[in-house]
Amino acid sequence: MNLAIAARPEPICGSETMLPVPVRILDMHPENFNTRTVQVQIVDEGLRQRYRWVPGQFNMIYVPGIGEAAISISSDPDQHEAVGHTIRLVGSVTRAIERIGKGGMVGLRGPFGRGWPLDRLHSGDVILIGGGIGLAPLRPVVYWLLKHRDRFRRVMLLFGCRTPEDRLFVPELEKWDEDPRIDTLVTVDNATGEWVGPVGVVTKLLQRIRINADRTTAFVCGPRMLNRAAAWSLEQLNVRSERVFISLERNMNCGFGQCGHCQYGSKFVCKDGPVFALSEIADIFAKEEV
Amino acid sequence: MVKRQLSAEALPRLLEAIRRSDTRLVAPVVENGLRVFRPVEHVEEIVLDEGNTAWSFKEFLFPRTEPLFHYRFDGPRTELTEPEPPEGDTVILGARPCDAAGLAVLDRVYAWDYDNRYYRERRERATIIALSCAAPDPACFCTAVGLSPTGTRGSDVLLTKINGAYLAEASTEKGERFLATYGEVFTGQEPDKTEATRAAEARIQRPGPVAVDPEAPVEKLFGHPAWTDAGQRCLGCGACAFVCPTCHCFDIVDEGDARGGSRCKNWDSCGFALFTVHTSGHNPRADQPSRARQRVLHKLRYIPERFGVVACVGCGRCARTCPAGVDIYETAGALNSPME
Repeated sequence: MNLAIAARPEPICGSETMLPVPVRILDMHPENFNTRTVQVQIVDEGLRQRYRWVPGQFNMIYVPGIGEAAISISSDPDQHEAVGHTIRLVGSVTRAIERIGKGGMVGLRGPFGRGWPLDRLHSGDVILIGGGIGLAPLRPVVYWLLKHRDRFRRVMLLFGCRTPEDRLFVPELEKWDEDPRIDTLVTVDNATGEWVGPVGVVTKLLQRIRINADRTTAFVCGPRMLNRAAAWSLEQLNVRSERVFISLERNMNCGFGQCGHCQYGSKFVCKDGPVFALSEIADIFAKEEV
Repeated sequence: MVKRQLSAEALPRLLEAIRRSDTRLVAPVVENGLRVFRPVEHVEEIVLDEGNTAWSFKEFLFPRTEPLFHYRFDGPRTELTEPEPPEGDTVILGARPCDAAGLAVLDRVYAWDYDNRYYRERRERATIIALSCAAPDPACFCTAVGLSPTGTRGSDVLLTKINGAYLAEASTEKGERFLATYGEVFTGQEPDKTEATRAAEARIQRPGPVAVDPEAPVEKLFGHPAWTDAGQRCLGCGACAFVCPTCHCFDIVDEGDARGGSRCKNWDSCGFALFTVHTSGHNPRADQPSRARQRVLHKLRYIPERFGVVACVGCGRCARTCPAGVDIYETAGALNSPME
């Protein structure tokens, strides 16, 4: 099996016993009307020092009596004191996390999965395509790219969401928009309020930029239809499928590739992914009901 | 491989010796009209009839439900505590070779990268004394998946009845230790089991093969009408997964009340409608045919590709149990016949 696995930190929390480690909610920042960025700190200092992760990995956040949810890490990988998770308040776990609030405690297992292949970006162009909450696992990539900016040529971030009110990380999007090191384009499906920017699906933004197919690597994370539309648009632009990476979403329970919920063909999204090269999943990516 | 002989008269002595030891003895008994594996109090309860038990013994290695840890609310504090240690040394006696072979799947999945401690601790302390099958029934098809009613895969010791006595074959160190521990009931003869194997295999009515071409493009397999046929009949009850010796999917849920409870690992099934559902409400496998496809391809294509072992042992339980007559043997057969 050819799964090009980049170096990735292994879970230090609960890998033996499934017992989550206690973490304290240091901050809960509202990104928009239904999305919060939750900064948590591992209480045990020894574990905190050992805990490392790479962009694209996720944690299982546990609320006793409610359950566990797989949440992407959205903070700066070089920041070790706290780990950021951007949650949309749609399920019982995310709502419970909001109720517990700043200062409260939850459980954490992780980090899980294979992240973005940062080591394969070489000296080419990088396009990040995010839809909605899919921007969360891409934010650590932006931090990392800006920190090592001289290693790449063009860096582009294309982000789309339903309405301007659905945007997340708005102050940062505005900051990146003015930063000459990164080309940031934001589009919305429905222009409400005072929005004067692009309107339409995020793949339409690809028409606004010049793609140099030979040296482009794309990282894509969004809802299923966006992932597909982005993959096909990039294919039409002749970006090789080995250089298009997509972060998939599945129902997950264990994180160890054993409980079977995230089975995607012969792969486990929690362990072989969540980030896959399009070429690794080309045979089933277009299929419904895998 | 160490071989010994056990006379028919010595079998009750062996069972009694195990029962009297510190080792827990698990064997088939009749409970509510079903023959199932249970810890044995009196050896007279043990029923070593021909045919297969209603359920395999997997629940003694992978329980239907088990706590991963406990949680207790204490004012603003929540206390998490580790679960009780699993049961000690266990002898599982009377498993059929098909069920024993199923362990190859559980062993691989539960250790392919991360060690599943909950399974491993039980597995290490379990000795599997299998019993060859002399009378496969019409649903059986172990030879169709490359196994045999007298095969040794997965067992520590295999007992095969030959002319009124049992051949005991130890194929693991654990099995050899077992033969040594209870050495006084065994004798040194080595009866030949060739004829017993031939006779048992001749009774299998479903020759197969049950396999999915590892080279067949997945996109072609996906569109096959066999899934519609199986899926439209499937009620999504999950019985096939619960009786299956290799099904290993589990759900993790909190079970408790306002004071506390346990985080439990429970049997689950890809046949259940909610198995893959997202919090958003989106369900990648939205209909029953797609779940039927997942069950069969997981066993016959994905696990072989991933772990090098076919995840169906031909025990026939799912076919016998299904209230709607869905039969993996027939589905696999349809898959291998040319499409219109």
